[in-house]
Amino acid sequence: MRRFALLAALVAVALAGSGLLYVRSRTADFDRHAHAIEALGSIRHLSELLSKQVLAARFGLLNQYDPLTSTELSLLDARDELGSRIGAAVELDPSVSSALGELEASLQEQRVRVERFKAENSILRNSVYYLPTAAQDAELSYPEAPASERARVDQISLAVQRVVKAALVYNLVGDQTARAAHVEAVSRLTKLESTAPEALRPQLRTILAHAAVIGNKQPAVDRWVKQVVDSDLSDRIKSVELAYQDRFGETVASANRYRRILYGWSLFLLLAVTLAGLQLRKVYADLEKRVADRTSDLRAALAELWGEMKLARKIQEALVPSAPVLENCEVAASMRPTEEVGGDYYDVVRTKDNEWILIGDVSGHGVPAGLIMMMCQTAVRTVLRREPGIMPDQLLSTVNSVLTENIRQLGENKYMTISALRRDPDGSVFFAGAHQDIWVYRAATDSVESIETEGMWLGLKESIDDVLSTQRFQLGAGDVLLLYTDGIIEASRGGSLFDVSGVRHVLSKARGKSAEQVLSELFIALHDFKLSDDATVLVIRQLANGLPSSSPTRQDELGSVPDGA
Amino acid sequence: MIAVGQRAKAAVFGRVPRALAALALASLGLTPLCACESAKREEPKPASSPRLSSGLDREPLEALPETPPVDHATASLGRKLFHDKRLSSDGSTACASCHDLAKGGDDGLARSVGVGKRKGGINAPSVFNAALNFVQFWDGRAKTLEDQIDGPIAHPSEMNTTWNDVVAKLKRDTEYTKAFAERYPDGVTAANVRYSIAAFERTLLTHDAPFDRWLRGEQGALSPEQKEGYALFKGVGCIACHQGRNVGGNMFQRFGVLGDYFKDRGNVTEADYGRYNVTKDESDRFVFRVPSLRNVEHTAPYFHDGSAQTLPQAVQVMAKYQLGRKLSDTQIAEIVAFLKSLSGKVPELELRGIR
Repeated sequence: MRRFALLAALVAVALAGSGLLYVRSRTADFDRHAHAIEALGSIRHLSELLSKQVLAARFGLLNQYDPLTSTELSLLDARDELGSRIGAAVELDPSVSSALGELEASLQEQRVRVERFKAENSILRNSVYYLPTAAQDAELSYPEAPASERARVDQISLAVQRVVKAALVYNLVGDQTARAAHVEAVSRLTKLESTAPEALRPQLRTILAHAAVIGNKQPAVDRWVKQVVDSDLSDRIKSVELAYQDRFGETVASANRYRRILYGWSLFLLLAVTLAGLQLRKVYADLEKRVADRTSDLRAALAELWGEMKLARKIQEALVPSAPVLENCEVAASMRPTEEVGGDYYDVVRTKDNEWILIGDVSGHGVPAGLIMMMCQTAVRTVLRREPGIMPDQLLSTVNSVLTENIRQLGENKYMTISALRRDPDGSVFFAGAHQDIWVYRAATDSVESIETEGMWLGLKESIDDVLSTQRFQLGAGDVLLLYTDGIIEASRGGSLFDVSGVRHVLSKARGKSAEQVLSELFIALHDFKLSDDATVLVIRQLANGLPSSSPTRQDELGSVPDGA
Repeated sequence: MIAVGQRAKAAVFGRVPRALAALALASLGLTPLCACESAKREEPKPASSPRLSSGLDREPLEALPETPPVDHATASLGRKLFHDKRLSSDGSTACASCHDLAKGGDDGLARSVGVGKRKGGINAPSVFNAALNFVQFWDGRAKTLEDQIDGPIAHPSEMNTTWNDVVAKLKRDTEYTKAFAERYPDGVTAANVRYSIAAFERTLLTHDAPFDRWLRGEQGALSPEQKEGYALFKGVGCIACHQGRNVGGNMFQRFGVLGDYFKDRGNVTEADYGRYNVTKDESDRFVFRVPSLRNVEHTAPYFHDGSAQTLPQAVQVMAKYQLGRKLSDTQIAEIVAFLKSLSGKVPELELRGIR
């Protein structure tokens, strides 16, 4: 968890670093730069247009001021636009700010000049247009001058004509010569005005007034025109442009610096990731080694366990008699466990009075089943050592009580089928305990019979006295006794079992065959069958010595044998 | 076993290389992106700038332009505010009190009357076509209609109030709060009141004056006398200042060029100083914004001081002090006839009287 948090923090730092560098590297925005340059172009254009319009208005090319006024207002808008676009393209520094401030001041001065020009130019224009009309009006108002005044009126008329001409020329040319001519014409008419007929005087005064307006306003208007045209507006625009370009250059340089750092940072991250990858490979390799070690440990443990199992198997093998021997009998036995340690049990025990044959099967397989089988073997032998004359049911009863207690202590849910057979020297066989059927080949009749076993499985109940009973049958010369565990009859081939019929078939051909032969024929018959459980077989052939050939066991012979008989 | 080992590796370390790899890719991805960003340049749009030639062949007078597109609902709200007396301190005076739209956009008084029946210092100019004036007020102290509104609101003898009071009063009216909320995210504010009223005022253009119709080629729109008057208007020099689409309203001029009007009239007040009050420049003394002559027959009395009661008087004064000449009664009558052809229609929005 802590490792993950650390990793997340590292990733966050790396991302934040990249993000910051990215943002910094983007401060130079060329789109915004283009917009700022465009706004500079726009304001320059408008300021030049304003000058041209003022010139056009001065010389009567513009009939009205609306275009001029509109340009003035556009210029103010363009100034606002320029400020905001420059502000968007670069962070304002003192040099750009002061250049913008100077531009603003210059613009306001220019507006004042233009307003002054408009007002003065209107007055000048009015007088220039009106002067000829006024002169004509004066002449028209005095057409019939008395003869006595004729000469004076003509002189005045000439003087008026000269004033009009001089004023118009002066308005257009405005140089020293024209100004001198205008002044001279005006002063001549002024002198004549005092001698003029009374009726003409007001009109002459009007003419003189307008001539004076032209004389005053012409230089005033031209001065404003000159000031407008020569204004420092374009210089101020240039200053803004230079300051802005410098500032943008710095911004670009800074952005490039951050971009280079970003390249480095990316390279560094790539390197870090590569190193992390290599580191991980190493970690993987370690992990693999650890897994391999653990696996080999497990193998060793398993081998050890298997060793133990083998030992248990060896013990089991050692406990079952390898070559059992019975008086006047051939004995052949085979035990084939499906696992290393099986649950099958058989034993042959000879006491001073009689011989015992035991066969059984512990439920389940493996070590626990094997252990219980061993316990059983020990218990049986212990009892038989102490009480050789005991009847089979008493034997099993005692063994059961020992086994049941031990199984409980082991906590295993196991039980055991077992049949105990006591063979007496006279050929009588006493038996008790529930296991598989007992099979007998009767040599006298060349027939096979099966004897059912009864009783109770061991290991389930503390006391099973009441359900156990000893029964008896007789073996005659040449008879073959066959005992087995369920592994034999449950061996399967395809869908079919070997079953008791398989056993019967083998046994039915036992005439004249040794116990060993019967056993091997049984396994030959079984050879295609698959054993799914432990399989134990015990074959005992009664030899003729001292015994009559037997007859088939009759049911009444299988009567219960009293305890202790 | 090896398969198990790989799964374990993937489970424990899977996130590490993936996250780091993504990081590295992202970082590397950004770098060319930056380069692309800087390489991508938008061509500056070719400026469709005004040209000198577009002003050269114009008539000295022009018809009114089309009303600019204005949000109708905002203009209606502005109209309501324009007529609302709550914009004054004592609830006596609305904008419309002095700029009566039925009386040519002013009040017919030489000096308007505001709160407490106090007389103002100057003749109220018409609100009609005011949007086309290059500056507002006689002295041009406001650049826009929005700026202009602050003047009467605060003036002691006009509305004599403050924006705080006005906004507080309007906020008590749920109709207003609703109408403002529909149009402005910040609801009732001084700026939004200004904007609304100005939006309304921009619709107050008086189109279709006979003279405008004549300019557009309708020969019968002017009588012979009016045509003669127009010729005189240009010939005697009125046109020197009263020019353009608003017949004035686009320049400043001194009152009294060829005569001393104020000396002759006497009793000079501060209001007579005109633009000087704004610039404190001696050359601006007695300089005023040239008024528009549109609807001039309805805006008597005339001049900033309301000293001329009739149009002929006003024309005579102008001829004497501005043009330096005396006009005959016939000439004056013809010019006055021409001036009457400048009266247009009261705008549609106002006529519909949307409240």
